[in-house]
Amino acid sequence: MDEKRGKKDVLQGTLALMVLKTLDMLGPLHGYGIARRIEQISGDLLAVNQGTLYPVLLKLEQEGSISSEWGASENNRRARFYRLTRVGRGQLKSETHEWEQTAAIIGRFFAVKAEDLK
Amino acid sequence: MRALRRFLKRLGSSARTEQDEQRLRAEIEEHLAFQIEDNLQAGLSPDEARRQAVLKFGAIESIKEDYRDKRVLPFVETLAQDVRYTLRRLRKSPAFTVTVVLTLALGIGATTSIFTLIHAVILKSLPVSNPAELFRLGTEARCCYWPAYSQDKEASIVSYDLYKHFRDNTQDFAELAAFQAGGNLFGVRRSGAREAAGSFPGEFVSGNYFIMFGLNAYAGRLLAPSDDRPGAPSVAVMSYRLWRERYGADPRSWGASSTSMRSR
Repeated sequence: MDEKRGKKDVLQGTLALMVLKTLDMLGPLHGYGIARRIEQISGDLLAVNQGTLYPVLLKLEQEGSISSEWGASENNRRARFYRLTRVGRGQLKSETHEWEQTAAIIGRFFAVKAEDLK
Repeated sequence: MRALRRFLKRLGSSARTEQDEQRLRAEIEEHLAFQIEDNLQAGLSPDEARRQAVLKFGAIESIKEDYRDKRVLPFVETLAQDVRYTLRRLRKSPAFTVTVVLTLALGIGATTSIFTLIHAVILKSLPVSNPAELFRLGTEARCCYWPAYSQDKEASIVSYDLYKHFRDNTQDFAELAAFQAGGNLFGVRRSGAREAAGSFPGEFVSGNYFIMFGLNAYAGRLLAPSDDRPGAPSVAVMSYRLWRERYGADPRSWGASSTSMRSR
């Protein structure tokens, strides 16, 4: 399982955005579920060192973007479920917008060829 | 706004350390259990399933550390720890504690009282004969002169006639002197001199002004109530500093009648 090579580390800020988006799509989810989902969606190209997720979840909860409570998982295991709050929905919206803008700008930089500037 | 909310949460959660620590431990356990189960289903041996799960999770202790740092404000927690440690140590050696507390208490007390004394005797007193007996008549802290008007409050400025009435009919004060509400610039030139007149700030005061302060002149004489009559020759008192700095402490300046005039 030595597939670290070729996988990208996740920047902290990006991870928070992914968590918000995941919760937005799937509804309340426990930490392991969020970690798995992020891996699946990224096509297993992103290796979340799964533990790093928990400090991020804590930070988001402190900011009021998500809330959490103990519940029972699909196979009847006790797990802590995280859900998106109203504040988090707003944050997701604005951060998605910012991210798209940034991506668009960077995309334009790569699209420009030397000839275009003449 | 979000940052503020987070700051308050972190400040508050310094108190709930144990509970939060347990929650993180429980969450990590749950997480590993999920992962082990998935690994088992993928066909790994139980030992290998657990090993892979832990590996994938990452360094648990450093994550816990990170979690803790994010949960509280680290410096507040450190401070609380230090205080608790200090108190514990102090409780263990009462003799030392008493010595330190007494030393500090006496030291602080002594310095404070000495400063209070010096402040009252030296720093606070005016250079007049009986500062404690001196009062300024007015209702506000900044009273009795024109700039007091800027405070939109009672300026306590009285007319010269009213002052004379107060002076002659108030029994409770030894003297009641008056000074002008605003300052003036006086043009001053030694009589007969050809130099241009110098301009110095000054003000008109009542004849008993210096008597009230109990002051004596370094040279010449100060104003007296006899100077307060209509038709009396005009006299002025020059400050010691002005005499030194502008007239070179020249003894001939005493009594030399100078031209003075109101410039405004």
